[in-house]
Amino acid sequence: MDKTVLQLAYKPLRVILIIVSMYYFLRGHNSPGGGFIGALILSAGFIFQAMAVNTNSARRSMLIEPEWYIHIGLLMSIVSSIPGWIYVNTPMTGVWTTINLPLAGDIKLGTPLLFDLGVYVCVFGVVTSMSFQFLKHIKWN
Amino acid sequence: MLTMLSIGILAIFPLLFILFDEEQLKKHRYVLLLPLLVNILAGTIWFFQLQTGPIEHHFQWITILNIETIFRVDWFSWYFFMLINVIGLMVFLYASAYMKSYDGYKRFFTFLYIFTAAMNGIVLAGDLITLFVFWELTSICSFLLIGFNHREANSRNASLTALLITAAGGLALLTAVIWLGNLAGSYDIQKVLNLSNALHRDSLIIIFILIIIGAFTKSAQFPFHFWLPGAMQAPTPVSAFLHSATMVKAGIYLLFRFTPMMGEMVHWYYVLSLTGVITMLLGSFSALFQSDLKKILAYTTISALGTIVMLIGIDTKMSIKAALVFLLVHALYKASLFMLTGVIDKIKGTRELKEIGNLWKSNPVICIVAILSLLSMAGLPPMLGFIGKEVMYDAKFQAPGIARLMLLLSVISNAFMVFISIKLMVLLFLPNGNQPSSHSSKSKPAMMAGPVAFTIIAFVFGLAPYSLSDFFGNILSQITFTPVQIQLKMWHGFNVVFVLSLATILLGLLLWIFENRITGLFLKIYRNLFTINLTHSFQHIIQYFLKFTKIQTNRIQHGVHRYYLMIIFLFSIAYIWWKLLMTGLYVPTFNTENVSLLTVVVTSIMLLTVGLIVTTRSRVVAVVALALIGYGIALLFMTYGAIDLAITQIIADTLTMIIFVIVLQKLPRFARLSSKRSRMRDALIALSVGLSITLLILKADMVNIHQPVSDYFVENSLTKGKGQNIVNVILVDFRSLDTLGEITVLAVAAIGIATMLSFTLNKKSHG
Amino acid sequence: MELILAILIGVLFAAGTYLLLRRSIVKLVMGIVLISYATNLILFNASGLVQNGLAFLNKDGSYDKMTDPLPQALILTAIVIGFGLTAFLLALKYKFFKITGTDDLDQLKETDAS
Repeated sequence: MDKTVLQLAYKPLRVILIIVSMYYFLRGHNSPGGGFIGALILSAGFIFQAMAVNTNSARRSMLIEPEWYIHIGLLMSIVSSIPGWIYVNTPMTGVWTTINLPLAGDIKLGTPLLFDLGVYVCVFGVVTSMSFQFLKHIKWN
Repeated sequence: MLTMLSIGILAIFPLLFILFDEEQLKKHRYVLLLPLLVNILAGTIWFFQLQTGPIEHHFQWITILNIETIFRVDWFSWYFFMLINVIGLMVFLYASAYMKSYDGYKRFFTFLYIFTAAMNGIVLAGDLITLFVFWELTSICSFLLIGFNHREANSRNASLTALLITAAGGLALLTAVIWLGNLAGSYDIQKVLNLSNALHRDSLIIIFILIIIGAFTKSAQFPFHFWLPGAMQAPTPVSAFLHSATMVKAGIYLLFRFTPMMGEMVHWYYVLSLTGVITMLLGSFSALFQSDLKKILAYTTISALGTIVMLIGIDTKMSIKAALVFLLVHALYKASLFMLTGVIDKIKGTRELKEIGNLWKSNPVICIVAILSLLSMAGLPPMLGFIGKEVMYDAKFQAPGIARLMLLLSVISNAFMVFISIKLMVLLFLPNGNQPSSHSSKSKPAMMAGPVAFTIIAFVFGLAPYSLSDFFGNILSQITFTPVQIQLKMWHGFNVVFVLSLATILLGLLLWIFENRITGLFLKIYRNLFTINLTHSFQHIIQYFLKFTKIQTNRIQHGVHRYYLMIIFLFSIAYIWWKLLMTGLYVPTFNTENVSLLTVVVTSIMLLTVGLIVTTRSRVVAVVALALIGYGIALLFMTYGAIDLAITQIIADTLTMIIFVIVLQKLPRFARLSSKRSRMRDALIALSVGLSITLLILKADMVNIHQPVSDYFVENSLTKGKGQNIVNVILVDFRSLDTLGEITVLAVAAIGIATMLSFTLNKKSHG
Repeated sequence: MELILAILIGVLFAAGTYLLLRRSIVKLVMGIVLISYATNLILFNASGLVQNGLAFLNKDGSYDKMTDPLPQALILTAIVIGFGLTAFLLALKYKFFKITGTDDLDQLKETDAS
């Protein structure tokens, strides 16, 4: 009986958690938040789904396998070190540009943001991958 | 650039093997020769460039330690380089046909290429560090090559013995290299050699000993010689290569290189020439009693190496010249003979001397080539070997000191060589009643090319030795730092040296004629002289060492992890207390400055919860209590201004609990496993750990030595990091390398969990 | 407050040590969790406690009550690493139980080639 309640609840909860996670991630550079926190919140949504329904459903909702997120995240973080190498001759130095968008105004973009995004994606992959493995092998559902 | 290319092409070429499978590679096996042809071309270019002086390439390596990678080609390294690559070319050609019937064709050639690259690296290296790196690489590659048939215990043992001995020598060499580099202030070999006169002589002796150990282990000098006969477990092409132009010649190369620096030392003279003489006699004498063709050749190699070392030790211009010539002589005939052994092995299916026989009828070509090579080995005209022996006798005859005694001993040793050559010729080629075996008696052209080529070279140079004069003169000038003119002739006139040559040949003949009577006597001497089998003793030592370490390990690593931890804890406590008492205990004063009611309540609840975790027998209670502590800590973080931490702590704590709950439901209840006594003991240890930590923290609060590094972060966070959240800026900008490392750790943990959980044991051996 | 925190850390360490010395692996893992918490608190304590302080700058780069941001960054990574470590240990423990059928660490003695 409670299963069905959970199964009804997971979808809106997941949406909320995704939005909250994005919010925390994006404002992370200036206010509390950032890649780690955002990723942990995001994974909570999917772990909740995996526990409520099953891991396969959660994996499907993630579009690609969680392990891929780990790889992509690591790669992004490593790639973000390259511009500093090229422009300042020291890998991992932050390089910033400002772009002007019609609606949002001036937006500062820099390699640290890409790095943080890498952390976000990687940690998301790590946490979901770990949890799914546990759930699957212990035959939660 | 060309130097890098010549080493690099050999090292990179095996990568192309990915494109082929084994069968395709065997089909297109002539591709394998390409890198060596390139190298020979490079050598030809250098030949012309060298007319104007040495070629040097510098590469920055570790600037802070003043280490550069230097490659330098002078006449001397050119000589070795060409020796390696020309013989290498033939060996590769030979091996490409020889190894066709073996598994692991690709693996074999990969090792062989890297080995050749390393060998080239040694002779081209212009600085000591680079030299050492390649030196070690040859040890490792030879380990892989000797142990190529890794399914056989013999080969594994032989390769391990070779590795242990050469690597031990490598360590000695490393010490010497660093020492020399520090003394001279540079690792550049040229600079080190030039500065040698200014070096302090006392420390030079230790360096000298270390270098000698390095060279002797590599070049199989007494008492390290025993790894070389074992190394014949390698496939025959490898033996041909190791014995003729590479590996064992690396040690010789090193000795030549250091001659200008150390040649004038008295120790150099005695150590080198005496060791050389002993090795020379030992090698040729032991060779008399072997029946395996490869073993005979291996011992003659030891003898030849001894001869060269002895000549370097005598260190007159004549003797260095003799050593250089003899090196070439030996490389040519040894490569040729080893290759022929492989051919005979393929045809007859055996390497046992007694079982071969009667080759003359079936394979006259092999016989002619072999006889010429054996003549060279015996030092008879018209081969180059004759010249080699002549200059050697001449050098010793003209040298002062104990050289005369050595002259006598070399005559004996050479007589043994003559005897072995005659014996081989007779036993191998003349009919001895054995039936020709059913093996295919055709020898492949690819396998005959090398021996034929080397024999022709030795023959031509033997007839026209003067064509080599200029070349050896050039090298000699480089080694001795003074211009030298030398003459190489076939006919020196009727003098003492010629008489000695005649005597050698006569002695060898006599030995052969009276073989039956002498053999018994010799065998007796041999048995009495060598009651200790060095190979076996060495392996025993290794085995005892392993046993000893096993006992040792079992005692220290008993496997009960609680006692490990206990020891760690007890020692930490003792150390902390010692330090605390040394520096004076800090008596805390309670200051109420930033205490709030909330924190006091939170802390009290946490203290109670901790007690609950320790005492409870319910797993669920324990997990909930653990979660409570985590949340309490988050609250503390929140109170003291760490919002990011609080959020992270809460989420991570929750996730941990979820995983705990998932796993715990599949695990048994807590059992009370330890006795009451051990619980009391552990509680005591735990309490003292807690107390020590508390005191340590209080003490740490008092210590504030350096300006906090955080000030920099606070000042620059907005200007350089473009962020107001300093914690986040530190994570993703200032200290992003740490963060990268951290997410890598996480990724590894995730992969580890995935593998571990999916992994299943096939054998349920654990009950 | 430093005194209270120091005592709390001490107690956490003592409990963690006691749990580490148990034979049950579940307790061992809990002990490690407790000790890693305590270690985070040590770092935090080292930053100097400032009530209601913040590690944030205003838009113009000024600040009111600053707490030391560096220990916070260190602890943040330590928390996440600690989570990964705990998860790994739990997986290890689960597998260990699956294969050996026991929770007793002393059974771990006989492992490889004997």
